[in-house]
Amino acid sequence: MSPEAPGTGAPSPAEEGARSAHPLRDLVPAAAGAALAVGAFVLTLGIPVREGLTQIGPRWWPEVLSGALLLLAVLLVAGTLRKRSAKAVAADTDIPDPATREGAWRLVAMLGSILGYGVLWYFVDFRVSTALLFAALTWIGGGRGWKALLLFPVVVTTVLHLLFGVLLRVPL
Amino acid sequence: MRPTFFKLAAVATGAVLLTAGCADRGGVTEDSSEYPSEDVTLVVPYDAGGASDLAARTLAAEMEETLGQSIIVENRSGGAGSVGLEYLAGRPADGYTIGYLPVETVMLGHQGYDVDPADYDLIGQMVSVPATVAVPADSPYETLDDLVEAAKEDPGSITVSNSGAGSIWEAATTELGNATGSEFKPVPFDGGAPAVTAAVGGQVDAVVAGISETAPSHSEGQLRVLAVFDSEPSESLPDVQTAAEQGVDVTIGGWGGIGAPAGLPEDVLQKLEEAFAAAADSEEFTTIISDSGNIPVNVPAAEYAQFVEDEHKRFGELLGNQD
Amino acid sequence: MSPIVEGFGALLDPTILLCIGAGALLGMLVGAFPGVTATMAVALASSFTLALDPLPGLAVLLTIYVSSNFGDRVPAILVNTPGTPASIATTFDGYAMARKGQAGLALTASAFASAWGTVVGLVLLMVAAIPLSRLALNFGPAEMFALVVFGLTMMIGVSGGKIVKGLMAGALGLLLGAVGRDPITGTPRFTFGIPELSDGVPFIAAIIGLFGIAEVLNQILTHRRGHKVEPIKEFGRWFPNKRDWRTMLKPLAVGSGVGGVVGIVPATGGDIAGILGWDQARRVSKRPDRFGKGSLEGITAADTSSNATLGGSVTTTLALGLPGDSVMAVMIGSMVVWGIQPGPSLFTNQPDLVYSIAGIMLIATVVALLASIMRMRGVAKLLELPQHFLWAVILVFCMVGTYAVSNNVFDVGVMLVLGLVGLFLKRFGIPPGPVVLGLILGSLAEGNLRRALEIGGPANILTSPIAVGLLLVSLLALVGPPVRTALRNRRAKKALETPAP
Repeated sequence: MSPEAPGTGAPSPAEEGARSAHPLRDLVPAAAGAALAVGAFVLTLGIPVREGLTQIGPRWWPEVLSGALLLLAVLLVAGTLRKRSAKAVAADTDIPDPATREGAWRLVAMLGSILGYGVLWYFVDFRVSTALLFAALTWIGGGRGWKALLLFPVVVTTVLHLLFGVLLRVPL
Repeated sequence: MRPTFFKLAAVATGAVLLTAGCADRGGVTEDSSEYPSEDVTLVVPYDAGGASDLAARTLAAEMEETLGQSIIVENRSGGAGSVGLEYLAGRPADGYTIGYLPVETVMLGHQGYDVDPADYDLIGQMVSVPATVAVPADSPYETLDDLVEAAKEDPGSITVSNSGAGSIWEAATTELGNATGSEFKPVPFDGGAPAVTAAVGGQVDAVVAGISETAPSHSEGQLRVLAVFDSEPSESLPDVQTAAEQGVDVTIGGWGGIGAPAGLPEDVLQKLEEAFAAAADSEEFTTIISDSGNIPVNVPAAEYAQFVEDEHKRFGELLGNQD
Repeated sequence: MSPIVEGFGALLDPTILLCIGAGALLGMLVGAFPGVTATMAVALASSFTLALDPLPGLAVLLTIYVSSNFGDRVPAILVNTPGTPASIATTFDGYAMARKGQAGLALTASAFASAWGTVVGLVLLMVAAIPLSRLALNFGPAEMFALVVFGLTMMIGVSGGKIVKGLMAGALGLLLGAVGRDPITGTPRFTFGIPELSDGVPFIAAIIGLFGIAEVLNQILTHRRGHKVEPIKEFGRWFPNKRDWRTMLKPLAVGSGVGGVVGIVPATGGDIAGILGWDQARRVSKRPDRFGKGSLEGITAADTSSNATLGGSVTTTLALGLPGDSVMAVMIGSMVVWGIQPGPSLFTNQPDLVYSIAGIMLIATVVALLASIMRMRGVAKLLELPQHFLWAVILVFCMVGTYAVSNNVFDVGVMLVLGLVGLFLKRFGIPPGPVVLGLILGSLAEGNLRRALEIGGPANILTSPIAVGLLLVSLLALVGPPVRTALRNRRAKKALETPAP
């Protein structure tokens, strides 16, 4: 979307590869797809098959799918290598915005606080833990001041509690 | 916009602080003779909106009147009902969590799930859903005997739809085959309604489903119910004989009752049993259950416990090969 | 004529209009909330509507059903999160339009398209319920399998030009759809002994993760301080102008047709219809390349089609007594308790009731449309929040909404994991549409194929004219476009070889 705008954090090398029309943009998904296909196939072999009236057993469909996925991964690699040799690397139309190092930390911190919330939720009342999570997420996202860190969490938590706890009677 | 926002926020802050203050619900070590002194939770192991959910909610509303406390219905679905049942078994046995126990309580343990009826104190059974077997309206099979004969002649050629692999209706199909020495081919669908639709549309030779699912199509003339697998004829299908009346001695079907995590204090259990019996007898409950096409019953705890034990053994034999 | 007058006349009662108002409010709210579906809202509402008389009760439930299919478009367009599965296809173009600064137009066009689709479905219900429901009965496992195969050919369409990557995404979705107990034998597959997985990957959690959460995670990853990534402060113009209306005409027609048919087929609903309508409109469009990149045609077709299924579902429900979708399954439960027995005899015994039901839904459509248009500006203000508020709200609201589906933390975990998977797909330019398509259609494809084979072997499929016809159409859909491109290329080559005079 945006051009190489000078930002605060420098893009990491891996991300650099991911966003330019670099072969890694095709090779990484191909490798992931192949790994998934092989993994699924191995798991498929563990599915017990009972003799019964059924025409085709429970293994058939996952086997077909993992085979198809592996084939597609190979096709993707072949296509990428051919494109490269022909030096016709077309500009990818929707290269995502570059990730920033700051962004990566932010992402990890937010996921971490969500995990922490999951643990906290078992011990503390929903209203308290959720307000804390809102405050944490807002702080990590860059919000500062009492309105962002105190008022906002309390207001949205109340909305959630009223809608789910009171109106829909969800056991929160 | 601004001023109202802050006013709202101030009110909201107050509300949250207030509720958070009295939120400490855990650690109740009160005398059980005062039971119930707070809300009771009723776990339903299925999504809101189904027949089980309706039965549980209706009963809960009636039990509230005897107990004098609110009963909050919690739907915890997933894993064919095992998620909710396991959750119930793991709750403290203090009477503040009770649950709806469907026939799957005695089946899932034989199908690889971690569900055992011994984990529950049984309070009572309130609903019964006898199995029925039905054929399309234009089917050549006029009686249960016709259908069984056809299945004997060419084993595995008679297709019978049911609501899903491992369901009570699939088990009922197998049981019918075992009892008559014939072999049907069960075809599991994704839910009871598609299974009945397949029979109405003539895609399968017959369907085995609960009475509330087949009776409406029977009275509309889209299906012909051949037999009800119950000990006595049903009010909603007065013209249909039971299987036993037609010489096939099979009673099978779904049922629902109320239970609690095993180990309830004696006086709590007694209070729950009383509340249950009053609710299951109430006109509000029996009317809604009969209107929805199922059969309201009121089986007391001891009898229900014996029944559950027998059913658990029975399905162990019926489903044994699936372990 | 008189049943129409009686049926519609019964609705003039102010109580009923009040019930419609309450239902519309509730429906819009739950529709807009990711995770909370119309089924859940109707199920919970039915526990207190049972105390009402049948007509006011039906007014509440049917209005929730209709208006939640308006409300769910709002988060789909504004934050790329489908409010309910029916608005999956809305995200394809709606969110892209919003990012281009056309959020206003997207919201209004979506509301008009949804209203139009609902009305078309209802007209079908009123004029042809009985014959249409007979048609539905012809859809057994063999025919369903063929229809699903046709649906799978759409994977190419929703791949957005990256066919190999799109198909890989589709295979991933199909594999996710294979998780759970085998549909015929009940054997557990890929469940790792987790009971929650034995019913399959929770669908609503999966789509919220793949669309909404993945988008938020991507923004978190790429946002730069002081650099506005989100341009959705611009709403553009709100009402479609004359040219827009002309553009919307064809997709409105295509969407109505597709949605009407899909609605009648049992066990298929707005989620499939939306994607199918979107893809068919793309095939007949003059600008197919713009689909998925903010096409007004795309959002119009998707929303018309997904809402045209409502009438079809009600038709199957009332005319056969068999639920047309999960919401109607819940509603049948209430109707039976009220002493209304849906089925063919309803049309002969109580024809006025059928018209009352259609009338309630028509009024609900108008109310929902008006509310959508009037209230949009307020809702859209949400996006003027600074990004740190927006991220926190989307993340937590999606988590709580997903939890509420079955009161299970496991679903929330699935949503977050698929959010990360979605982020991976996004970073490597893999379209998420085919994953969802695979997840919806995978178990339907396998289950119905194997059911059809159980019933009558391969002959069961090959002797059904509907199934064979649909399979041929699927083949054409697969082979057609490459052949056409090849022909065009050859013609272009010839034109080049012929020297210009």
